[in-house]
Amino acid sequence: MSGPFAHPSVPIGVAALAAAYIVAVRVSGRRVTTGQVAAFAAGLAALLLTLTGPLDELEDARLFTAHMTQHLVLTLVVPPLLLLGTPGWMLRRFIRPAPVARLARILTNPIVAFGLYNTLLIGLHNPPVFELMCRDEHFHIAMHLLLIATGVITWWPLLSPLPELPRLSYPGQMLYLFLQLIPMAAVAAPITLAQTVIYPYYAIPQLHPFDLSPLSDQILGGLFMWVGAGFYMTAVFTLIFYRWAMRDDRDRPVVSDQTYGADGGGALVSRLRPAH
Amino acid sequence: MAVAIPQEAVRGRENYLREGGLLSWLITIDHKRIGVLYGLTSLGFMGLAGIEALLMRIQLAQPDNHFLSADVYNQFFTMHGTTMIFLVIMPLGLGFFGNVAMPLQIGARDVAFPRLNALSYWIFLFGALFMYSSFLFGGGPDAGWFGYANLTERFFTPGTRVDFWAIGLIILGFSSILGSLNFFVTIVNMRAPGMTFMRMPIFVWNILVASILVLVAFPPLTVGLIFLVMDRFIGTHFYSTVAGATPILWQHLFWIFGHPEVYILALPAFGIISETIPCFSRKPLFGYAAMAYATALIGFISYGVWGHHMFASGMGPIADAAFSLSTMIIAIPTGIKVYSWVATTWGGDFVKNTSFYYALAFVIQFTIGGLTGVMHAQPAMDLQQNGSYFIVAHFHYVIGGGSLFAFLSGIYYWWPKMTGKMMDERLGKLNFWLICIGFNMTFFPMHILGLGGMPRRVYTYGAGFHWAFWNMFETVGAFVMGVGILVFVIAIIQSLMSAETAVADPWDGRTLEWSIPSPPPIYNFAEIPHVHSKDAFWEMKHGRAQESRQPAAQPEHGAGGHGIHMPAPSLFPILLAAGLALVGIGAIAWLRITFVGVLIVYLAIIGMGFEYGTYGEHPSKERGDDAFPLDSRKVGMWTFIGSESLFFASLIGTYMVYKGRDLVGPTAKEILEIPLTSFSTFVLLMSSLLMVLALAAFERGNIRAGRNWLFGTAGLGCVFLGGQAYEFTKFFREGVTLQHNLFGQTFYTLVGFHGLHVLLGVIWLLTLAFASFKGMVPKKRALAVEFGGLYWHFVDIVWIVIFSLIYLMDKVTGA
Repeated sequence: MSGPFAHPSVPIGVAALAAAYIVAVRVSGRRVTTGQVAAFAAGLAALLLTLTGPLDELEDARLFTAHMTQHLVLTLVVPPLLLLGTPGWMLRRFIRPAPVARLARILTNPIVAFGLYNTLLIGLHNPPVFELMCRDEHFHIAMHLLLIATGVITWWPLLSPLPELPRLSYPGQMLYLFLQLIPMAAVAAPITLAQTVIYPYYAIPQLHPFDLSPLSDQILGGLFMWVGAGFYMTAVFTLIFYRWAMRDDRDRPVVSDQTYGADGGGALVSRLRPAH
Repeated sequence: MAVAIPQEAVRGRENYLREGGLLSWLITIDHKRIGVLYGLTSLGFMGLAGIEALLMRIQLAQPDNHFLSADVYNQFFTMHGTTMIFLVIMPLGLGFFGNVAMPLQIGARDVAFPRLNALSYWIFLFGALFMYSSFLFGGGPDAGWFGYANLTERFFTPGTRVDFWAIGLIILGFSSILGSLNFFVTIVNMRAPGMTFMRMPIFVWNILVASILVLVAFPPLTVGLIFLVMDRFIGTHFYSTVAGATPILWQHLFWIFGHPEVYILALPAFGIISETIPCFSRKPLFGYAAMAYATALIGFISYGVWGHHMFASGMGPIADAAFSLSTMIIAIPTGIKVYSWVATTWGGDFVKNTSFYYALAFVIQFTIGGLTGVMHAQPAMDLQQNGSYFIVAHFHYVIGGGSLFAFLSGIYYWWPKMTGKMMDERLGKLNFWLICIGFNMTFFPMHILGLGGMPRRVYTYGAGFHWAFWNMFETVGAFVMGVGILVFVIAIIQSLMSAETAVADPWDGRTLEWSIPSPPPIYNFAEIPHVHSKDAFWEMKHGRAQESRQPAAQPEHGAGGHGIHMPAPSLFPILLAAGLALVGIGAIAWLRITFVGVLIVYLAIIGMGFEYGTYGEHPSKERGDDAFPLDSRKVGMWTFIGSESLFFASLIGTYMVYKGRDLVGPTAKEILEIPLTSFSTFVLLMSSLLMVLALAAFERGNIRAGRNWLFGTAGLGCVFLGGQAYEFTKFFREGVTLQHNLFGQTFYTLVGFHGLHVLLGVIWLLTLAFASFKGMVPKKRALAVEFGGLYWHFVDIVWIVIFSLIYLMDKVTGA
């Protein structure tokens, strides 16, 4: 039940991603920055540590909080790091075929991306589904993969490496992050504030070393998702704001209408246009 | 029709206040006039709330007093709070200052939707009058401004008092949402060329964030109020433990709204202070970017800290600790603001006028209120002070000493711009000192009384508690403040009567509103300015040497040579608002009035929709700038859909929370039928397909085909509704009524509200289809069909969510 090979799919997947990255760099002969390599490596390390390390051990010992932490890392830490670590050219060849390009455009539309990720989030935490996930290993793996995949999609409007599937404008990104908080709270609040243990899988007496009753464990897990992730998002929000302010703060002596068009508001609303 | 004002006639129409007679105010859609109406109405209600407060203070001046009965006292403290929050501070901050100053500061000729603006004012007025009319029919609402369940249930509070309160708040909610939607779209879409977000005046930033907060905060409150009205009128049990429900649900729904509401009240005030302090310190605002960040961050966090209002409800130590932490975090952006204001005054060359005095008093008093706020972030301390006068002192320092003082500063600041007159400085200083001293005399001792154990909301107290001295002291203070307000009113009247006229830029201001005459002409800007920097007008007047050759704000020669187009006044907003008020009156008095109200609302909406002959070319397109990337109405529609999503999210959330808490069956999994509903779902999805075809046909100009597709869409919608009617009747026969159990009430409410949306959609589409017979939906108006379509698709998506979460989930997983 322990060690990195308890779930062989994880190290295999991580190794495959690392190999693909190295091969892509070697074969294409194009440059990647140290920052990109570091971000990608950090993303993979986070993935590996979350799904195989002590955290996973605790999850197996029926610590709900550990499971929630895994989900948070899989959706809030791994996807942005992977996106930051992947240069645009690496992905461009994949979206060259027209159908793929169209699909990618639809998936990375902020409204679609928002909807996909949050539908999964809400559906997954519904007690029957969650219970099934905890008891069925294959379903569990599938769900984790889905979390990472929709996580990448939902982070795309913030960190897209491809100009042809662009990021939102800065104010759009901030609004997008703000709206992300709402479904997250809608999922976390009922878990946190429930008076009973709503996931029977975690209702048994603890196998983990912490002195936490199942109900306290559930509250703590809910709070990790609600307040903990809220702090994390606040930090991201702050970063976005300051990048925007630094770019936009300088008083430009002459402004043409093009500059106005490039401004946040314009880009924001044009990105809100439904995909035709 | 848009009214074209020829360029040569422009000089003759300088003053927005003097155009047309008194009746023209009823149909006005000029943002400045609507702002003035908001201001007058709110100040009137402030008078009422003030009188209520003074009467309460007389009652409390002595122990064992019987000046007011307990019953009247309850009504007064309830209505004082409700009035000050919903009818004074909020409409003053957003409705009055937002309308008077915001469009001028962003260099716009009006807001994005001028008629919607008028509509939100009239709904506000009628909603407020509706709520106050409660006093004529058996007394005013008396369950406290946050109307905790289950005190508000019919069993505990019979009579119509709480009915007026709840329905009144629902009506007022419409006003707030429409108004904020308008401001949001205006700020996103109507800024003068070159005014990037990072060049907007901080006041505009604050209005922007406050508007977003209104849009996300009001839907949960509306849902909470709808549950309350249902409990009271048709005997459901959303908030009573009889059926397994919990009154705590109300607290959640109310405070999810209530905490952002605190910032909705405070942000406009922050914005005003961020304009007056730099102006009268003769310095630019310290840390513009940090201020904008703090504003945005307050909005970002405020939606997730409502738990700190509920420490006393027994959430448990872990949740208390987390909310405590998040609440302390939100003090950081507020702290940034206070430091920025202080740093702005540092070394300033002060203009010591009344506006500046009020601004300084704001900073000090708001900080006191903020400090006690941080104290309450401590659950242990909060439990001690909750429900005591300490809390009363806290929020009066925040909202009274904070927001209200800022508003007084703002009134003194923008008065010359609004009216073209100056206010008398001697009277100004007098009313400042009276109000400031009176305020602190009234509210500071409440800290002491609260720590001494005096509870809130008691109509009298015994002599043995030794609370008499400070209570008398407070009452004297309240009257000093009252005299101060009187002097303020006198100063206003004196200024209006005076002959002295204000120049365009009396304060040597920094923002665009000072670049136009006082009072502004109807169209605000003869030429839309081009903005090249923050403090655009200041740069233009006192630009830096290297830029002096090139004015910072260049007027745009963009009126197109054919004058300025302003939208014509409209009668429909006031009609629509009156219809909405009738709906509310009917609910309490005589149900038939409700149907008349609904009919009026419907006709007024149609009238509004087809009022402008050139629907596809709304006058807003001609407001001197064609650089807007997307039609304002489309942004508005998407914003509306966003707000609606939260309405449904609150309903779905309630269903999920109450699932499995039923005391009696049958519940979802025993009764819901998948095959029938799958068919309905399929029908609804097909209708979305037809809708797409309809829009495509209209866009091609094939009106006949488009009309047929519209009829098809509406027909499928009717089939869906028929299926729902069948399902409901079947459940009723099996004994599952609205009142039967928790499943019954949450299910019918959620699915019923969705059905209502489908019904509205059907009516909308049929209206469009019939209008197309008359040639009222030509190709260039295909946008009208697109809006109907957006709404229709949205309703379909909501159904898919409901279907999966409520029908499928239980069945498939078998749990």
